[in-house]
Amino acid sequence: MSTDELKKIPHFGAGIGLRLELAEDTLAHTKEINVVEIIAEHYFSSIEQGLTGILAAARAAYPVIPHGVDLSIASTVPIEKEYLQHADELMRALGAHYYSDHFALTRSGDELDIGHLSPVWFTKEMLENVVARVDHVQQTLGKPLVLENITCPFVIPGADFEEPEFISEVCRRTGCGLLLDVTNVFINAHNFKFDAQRMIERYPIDSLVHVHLAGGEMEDDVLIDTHSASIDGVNEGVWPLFEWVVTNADVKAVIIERDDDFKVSFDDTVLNDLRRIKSIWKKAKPEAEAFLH
Amino acid sequence: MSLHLFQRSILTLYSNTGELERFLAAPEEWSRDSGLSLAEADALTTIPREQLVGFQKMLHRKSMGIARKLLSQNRRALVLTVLHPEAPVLLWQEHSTLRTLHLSPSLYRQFHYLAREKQRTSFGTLALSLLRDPTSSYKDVANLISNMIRSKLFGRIIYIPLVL
Repeated sequence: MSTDELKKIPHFGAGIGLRLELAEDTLAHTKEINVVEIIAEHYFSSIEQGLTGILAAARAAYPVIPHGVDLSIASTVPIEKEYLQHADELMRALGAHYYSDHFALTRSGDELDIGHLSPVWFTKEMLENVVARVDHVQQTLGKPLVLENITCPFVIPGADFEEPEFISEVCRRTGCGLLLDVTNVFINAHNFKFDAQRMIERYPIDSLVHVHLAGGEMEDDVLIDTHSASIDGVNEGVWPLFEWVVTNADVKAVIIERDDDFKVSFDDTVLNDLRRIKSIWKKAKPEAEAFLH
Repeated sequence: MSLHLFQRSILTLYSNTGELERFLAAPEEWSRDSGLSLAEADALTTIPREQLVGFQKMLHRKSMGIARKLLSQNRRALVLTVLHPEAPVLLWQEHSTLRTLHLSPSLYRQFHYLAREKQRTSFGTLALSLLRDPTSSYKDVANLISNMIRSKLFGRIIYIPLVL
């Protein structure tokens, strides 16, 4: 797939991951939220009936971006035909322009499935494996695949690439897009003691489509990607990184990930973060005013 | 094939406490027995131990947490699913059939994860949990007992992680 396909993706603006616990607030703030993202697999079993319930309500109010967690692009076992059929059905029902998931390993067949994103071993053999699988997914869906960098509990030694270079090569060879989780880069930089800004600059910015930001927690000087707090907390340091990203890349969507601690005020946390995202984005790109209401 | 073997090995370490303990006790031997090449074994054995163990513990905590949350939310769906006359066999043998029973991917994945940790209960305990569940009715319990008798599974141990 050509990278021209990424350029055709419209600008969606800033929004939030759609979660049941936040659904009422999410649907009530259409003046502030531009776009929502869903966990794709949560809707696979119901999509045969079309858009129903909360998904229908969300789609009526916003563009909805499907974000998978179980594609396991780094696996060596074939991607199930049924999985891609569901993904395709969901994308058609939503009118989605791309499907996103992660540069990660979650399983090797049905019996070895950890249900969580785990690090990729960035070898030459893995590169060929991922390129082939990305090509297959994109050919099947007929739309770009956009893949996200993850937080790493450790780096698997003996690799041929570091993550930014591996991802760059995948994007170059397949035309797939990058979902840059700025928070994940920040967390990895803190935990593994490298410079986050210099790392961010190594990712393939020309392939960047979508950004994730999230709050987290600190435990024994280790940052944890809990998605449970405002970004203005232990992850305050992501803001300068985000500013660099929106200045240098043609970002189409920015999503705040919030998956825990829902008792706090939506206004004081999520909307506050959203307002700051838009402020930084508009300052970096005044033309963003057109899609950041 | 080599990459496949490496992935199966590392995923096994992430998800199986016993295998991780055996690996930590004798990493070179474990890697050799797993059929890994020298380079693969080297990569696996040089992952910092505390980071590997920390990740495995986090996964375990997460799975138990998710299982508890899902079971409490889906207890009724779970129990009604188990009332299917073929359920005990299906739960153990057919992953695709599990999907046709409309269990969420997370839920049936937790079943298999916890099954590896040998969580188990009996139909009797299941019936008791039904009685305790405010969303269940006596009809559910009656149906369960009826199914158990019909399928001759009364008293049989089934691997359902209700006791958490």
